[in-house]
Amino acid sequence: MSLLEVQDLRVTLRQHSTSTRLLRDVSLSMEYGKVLGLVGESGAGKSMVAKAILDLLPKKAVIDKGEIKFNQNSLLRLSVAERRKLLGKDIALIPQDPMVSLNPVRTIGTHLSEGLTHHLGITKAEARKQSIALLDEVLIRDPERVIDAFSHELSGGMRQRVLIAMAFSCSPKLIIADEPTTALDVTVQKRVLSLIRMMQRKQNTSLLFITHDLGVVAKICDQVAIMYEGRVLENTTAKQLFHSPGHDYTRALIDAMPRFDQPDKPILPVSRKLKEQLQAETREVDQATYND
Amino acid sequence: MSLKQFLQRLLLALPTLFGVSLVVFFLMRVVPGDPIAMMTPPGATEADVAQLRALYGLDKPIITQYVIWLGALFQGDLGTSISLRQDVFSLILERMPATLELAFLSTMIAIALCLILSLAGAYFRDRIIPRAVDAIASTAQAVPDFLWGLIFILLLGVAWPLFPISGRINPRLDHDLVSQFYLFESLIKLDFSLALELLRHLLLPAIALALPMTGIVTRLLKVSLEETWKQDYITMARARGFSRWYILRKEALRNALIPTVTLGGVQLTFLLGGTVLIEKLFSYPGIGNMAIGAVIQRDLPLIQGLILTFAVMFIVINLLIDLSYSWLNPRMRHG
Repeated sequence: MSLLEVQDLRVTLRQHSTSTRLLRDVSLSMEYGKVLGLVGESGAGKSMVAKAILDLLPKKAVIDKGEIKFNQNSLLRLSVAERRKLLGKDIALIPQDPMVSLNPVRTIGTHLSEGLTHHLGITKAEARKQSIALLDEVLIRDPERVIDAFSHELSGGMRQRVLIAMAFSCSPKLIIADEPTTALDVTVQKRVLSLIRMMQRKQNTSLLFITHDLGVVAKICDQVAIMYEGRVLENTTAKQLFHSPGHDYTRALIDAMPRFDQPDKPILPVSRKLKEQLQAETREVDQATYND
Repeated sequence: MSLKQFLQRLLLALPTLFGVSLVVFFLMRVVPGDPIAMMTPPGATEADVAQLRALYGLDKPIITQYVIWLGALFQGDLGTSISLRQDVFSLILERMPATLELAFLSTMIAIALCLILSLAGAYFRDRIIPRAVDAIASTAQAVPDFLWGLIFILLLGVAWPLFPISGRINPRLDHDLVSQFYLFESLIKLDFSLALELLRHLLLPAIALALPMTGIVTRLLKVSLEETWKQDYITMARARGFSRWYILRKEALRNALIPTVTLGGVQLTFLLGGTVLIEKLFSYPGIGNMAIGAVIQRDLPLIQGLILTFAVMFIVINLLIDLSYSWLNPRMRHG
């Protein structure tokens, strides 16, 4: 039984008289407690999938078709209020850029405890106690001081730890991590990544990990979906992916990846021919579904 | 702002005030018009005029006059009004509470209207309400305060006489107010019928004063809220399941207020300046009304005292606004 089921999701951006497909019949499936890596280059529609799940699609983006099922319930059929009850509680987000994802005029404690009081209905004093414990859990030193700090007083890595604590605070069933290490220093990236992994294991949360880094996928993902131009090209296990990639594009991505264990391996860019072939396919798909 | 910075700012106000006093003093003596000529009857002899001139110290050189005036100022003596023949300091002290009440009420009305309008404009995503807010704000801003005053007098004072259009309180009304802060005193004493009577007099001039400020600040706050809404921390709050109204109030408003308060502060000094005309229009017995009388009478000591008073109020307002920055914006607290 799966926790999250995205079925044939088609999203179109309608602006003025033009319409642009953002997602082309995307299907994904996530098991309880597993990590699904969503891989693709910029503009592949990875974040758009996350936004569709989180009800954050831009105003002009319309879901034409498809279904998002969470825990057997259709998210798209819920009212706004019902969906808000799930967000932050059962489904949480770890954002891409910790530098701008915390409100500059509110303390770290406010950020953490407002989620707890809102979703769990506990008192402010209790929420503060739990917040301090959460900061401790994400390995922030001196949580008693940090809880009353503002985001500008913390480093990028610390802020991302705070955001991770916020995401895990209500023990969600699903966490969407949208390139959570991209904006961080390389040295910090590794520690943040292992923190997310540790928390995910501890709470047995399902994790939708959006990234363009196959190295990260190899390290933490169980399942992988490869996306290009709003299409899912391949949906496979992480093991399978590296041993016998099923799609030419997947193979090209693996070839483009530097390997520390094989320092002599040439790093090859994805060929133009392959990209043109993929783009032609996209056009075909669009034409075939034009009148749907 | 730390205490040290605060005291620094307070100290810096002194040269400002000195500058103001210098400009006012010399400007008033350069512009045409003679206070003595204004007060002497047509048949007065040269000797009478000279005697009066000597009485008010106007026969001495301007520099000497200034030094005498400044020396007295340091002892809290602003001189004697030529036209009213009373101590300037106590005259201003007596009239000032009326102006402060008007300006305070007007500011409160402006703040309340700004918050309601801009929050409504940012909350609703339909086509009608945000545009209505823009239209209201533009109109409020485009019409100057004294014109609003005239419109109110004509509509609500004359055509439908719902409000009294002059004065501060019904002169036939018996009251036992001891301070000049009528409204505050009546509210503290819980005398609500008296407070209501006072409010009826205050409301029209206060709204007239408030509207232009409301217009410009509403427009700014609305745009500022819309800009803030695009920030990542707002997206984050939405992803955490908070309602639009909650996010607008708790996450967006305070951030949006930071640029708004800068402009709002400037507007507040305009509002204070606006009391001069509005008080005249509504025959409201404040220092603004008094200032117009003083200028017409060329009452030099009174004009000087009043302008100095306005300068002090401007400085206090600016200081309060600077204080509010560090309250609003934690990034400015350790500067």
